[in-house]
Amino acid sequence: MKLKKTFIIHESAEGTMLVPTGGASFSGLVRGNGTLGTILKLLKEETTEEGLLEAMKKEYDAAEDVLRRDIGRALSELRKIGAIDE
Amino acid sequence: MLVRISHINVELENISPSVIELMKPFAAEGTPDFSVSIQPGDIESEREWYADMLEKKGIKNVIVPELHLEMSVLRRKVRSRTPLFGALGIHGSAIAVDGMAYVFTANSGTGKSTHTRLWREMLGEHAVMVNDDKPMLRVDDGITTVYGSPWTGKHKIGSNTQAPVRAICFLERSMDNWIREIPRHEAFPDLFHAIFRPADPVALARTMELLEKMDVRYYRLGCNMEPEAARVAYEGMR
Repeated sequence: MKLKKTFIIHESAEGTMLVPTGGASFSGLVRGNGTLGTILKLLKEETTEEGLLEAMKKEYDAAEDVLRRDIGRALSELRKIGAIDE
Repeated sequence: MLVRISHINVELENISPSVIELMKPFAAEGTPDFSVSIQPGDIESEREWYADMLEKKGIKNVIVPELHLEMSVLRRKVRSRTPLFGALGIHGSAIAVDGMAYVFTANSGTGKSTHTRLWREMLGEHAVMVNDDKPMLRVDDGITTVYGSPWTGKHKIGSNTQAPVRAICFLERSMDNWIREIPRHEAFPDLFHAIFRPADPVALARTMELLEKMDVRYYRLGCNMEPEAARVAYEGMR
């Protein structure tokens, strides 16, 4: 899976943002602080849920089930707005 | 035809005589920074887009004039490229008072144009309309300047002028009139909603960079349609 080309990641002083292009049906702005920001950045490249988990383990000192839950929630939200190419 | 919009030279190709007439205030000479052209099928695609958009609002069987469709196609094509040359499109009503500009933005139908009309009535010749619907913002060396554009909205109010931006104001309807300055992080989602988002990821990334560089004050204004609304807003932002 990977972020669709109709979205870009924008880094700002206020954190990581997921920004839809004019070609996306979604028109909001997603601010990704903390783990969501990391997940967004990882999704710039082709990966899997397990790939995300492994990368997150290196980044965060948190229990695996917590990271897995964060990844699941993030992907669910991103799928809802049509931001993921499976 | 060559036009200069927000300091960017754009060659408009394959446009109708009616559009040439509307573009005349922006006619210029020089070398184009980029060109846009009306292609076969553009007008029909735009007509379908409008029909879909209006149907979602429960409006059916509206005939959108050909000239409006052609201007709309050009607007999208031009604003899709201008971020690459330092300017972005915004949906708002921009007015300059004694050389400093205030940009009001809100969803369509909220009362942006009504509010800037109240400013003109209050301030008389001190106030100059930059553009009532689709001005351009340019960010150079930390200075944000608003420019007029040929797309002046349903009231056709605007001019080929420019002014440094003192404030961007997010307007909402209210029984009472009030204004408060808001921090940038609070303003950002509203600002993002108001700007034109190109479909091209590179132009969009450039748009976001320009937004980051904008150094203006942001305000939230609750207002009714009485003259008092203009006084509260002006006094709150000047």
